[in-house]
Amino acid sequence: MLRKAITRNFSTMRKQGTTINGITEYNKQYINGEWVTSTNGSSAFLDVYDSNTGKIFARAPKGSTVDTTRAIEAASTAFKTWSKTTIPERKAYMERILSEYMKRQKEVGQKLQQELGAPKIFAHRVQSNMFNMHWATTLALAEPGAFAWSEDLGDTLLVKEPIGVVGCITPWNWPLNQIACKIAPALLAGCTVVLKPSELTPINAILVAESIDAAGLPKGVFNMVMGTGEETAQILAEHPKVDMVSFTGSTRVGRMLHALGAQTIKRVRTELGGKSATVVLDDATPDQIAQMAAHVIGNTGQSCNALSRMIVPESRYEECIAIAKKVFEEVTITNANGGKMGDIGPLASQLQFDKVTGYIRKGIEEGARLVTGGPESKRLTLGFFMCCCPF
Amino acid sequence: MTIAQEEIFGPVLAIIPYQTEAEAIDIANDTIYGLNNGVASADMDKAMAVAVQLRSGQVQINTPGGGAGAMVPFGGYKQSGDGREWGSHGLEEMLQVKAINKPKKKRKKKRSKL
Repeated sequence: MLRKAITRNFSTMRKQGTTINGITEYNKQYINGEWVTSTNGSSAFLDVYDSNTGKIFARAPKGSTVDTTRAIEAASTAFKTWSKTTIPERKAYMERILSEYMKRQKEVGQKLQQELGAPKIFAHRVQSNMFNMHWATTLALAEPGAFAWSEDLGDTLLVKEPIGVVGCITPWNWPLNQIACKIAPALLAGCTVVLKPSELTPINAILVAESIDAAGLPKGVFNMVMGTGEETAQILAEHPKVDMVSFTGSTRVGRMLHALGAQTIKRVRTELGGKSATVVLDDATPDQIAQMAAHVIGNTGQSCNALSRMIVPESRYEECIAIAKKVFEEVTITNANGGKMGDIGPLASQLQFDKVTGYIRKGIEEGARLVTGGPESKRLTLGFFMCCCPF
Repeated sequence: MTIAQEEIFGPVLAIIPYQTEAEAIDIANDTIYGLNNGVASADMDKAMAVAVQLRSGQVQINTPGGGAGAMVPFGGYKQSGDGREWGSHGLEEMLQVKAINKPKKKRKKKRSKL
């Protein structure tokens, strides 16, 4: 199988995207080892906005139900052979994918500066690098003895086998982190994949698909479809040939996927929202309090695990507010091309901007004391920029 | 208050006072979510005693997001989801277990010679 793949015809392998008047159009999805236009037509697009300017900088294909169904069928067919490959064979493919990704990593970082609004250094050193980190971690598990693939109980042999076709639905906030931490273990396990990346940040995923294509993975093992979240996610959750759905996103959509998946007793695994708290104990040092208060600022607060509440001793309430105020006021808000490590960019989208500013207004209406920042702050500029604000 | 309950997904921090440690733990756990929590304390034993009472898939003591490597499982309690990703736990999610039962090996019974 390994040899067969290396000699595969690479005629379909090419760089995606055509730039016209400053807008890059990507009009193909990756299904069954080929770049194909949607049955919706080659001009059915999702607009992709530059978070720094609020303007469209790219368009991604808007896939159809037929496209997603084809991708599922392709993954289901490919599972029959991919699941029978050996761990070293799968490891070899995955090593090639990583090396192809690294050739494109700079471009991934550049796209993240726009579609996610990540400042340059954060996009290139942190966000784009999450792929390499998870890929390397999973590859380490492919080493002999690193993972218990079977267990001998004497009269019984326990074997761990791939679950089948996995629908991976990934979010926009840490896109490469979520793509890699789903598809790397799926591929190593012997599963086949239909990836549905976020429609807000689809370009980095197209570059991942290009890397996989260039690595010569057998056709159908990895497929990527695009579309609006709920519509495409619903097809994956309902289709009887999808054995598992791995979803990261909102609790609202997660709830829907669990319900839909129940019809076919699908394994639905979710990583959803949070409202995490730091409990500050009475002996905490000002440095410790400052460090914990700063966590919610990272990635412009757009992390599911953000420590967005701080629960503090009443006797130290004013002190903690003063510490948080200082931390938040020291943060530099920058656009995609500026900044140093720790600086933050705009919020990713207009929707996000409206949601966050709406919450701040609601907080004030309900009687919270806004300590600093906020949507009316002078630091607000073009794009989806927002100041940090502790209440 | 809404901003202390709902996920905002922006650089916004809600600071809430408490009187007793038990009350602090109740406030922290009083949410439908359970992905992450933190403890700030100069005393590691005290921090651990609180950490084990927080209903979440991760707890960060004094180092938010700093200590966890890529092999550390990532996932939530409650309505933060039921998955565990990253490292070997993430690999287990993609696998199912088959038990292949073989005929029992016959044991030679020791018989005492009459």
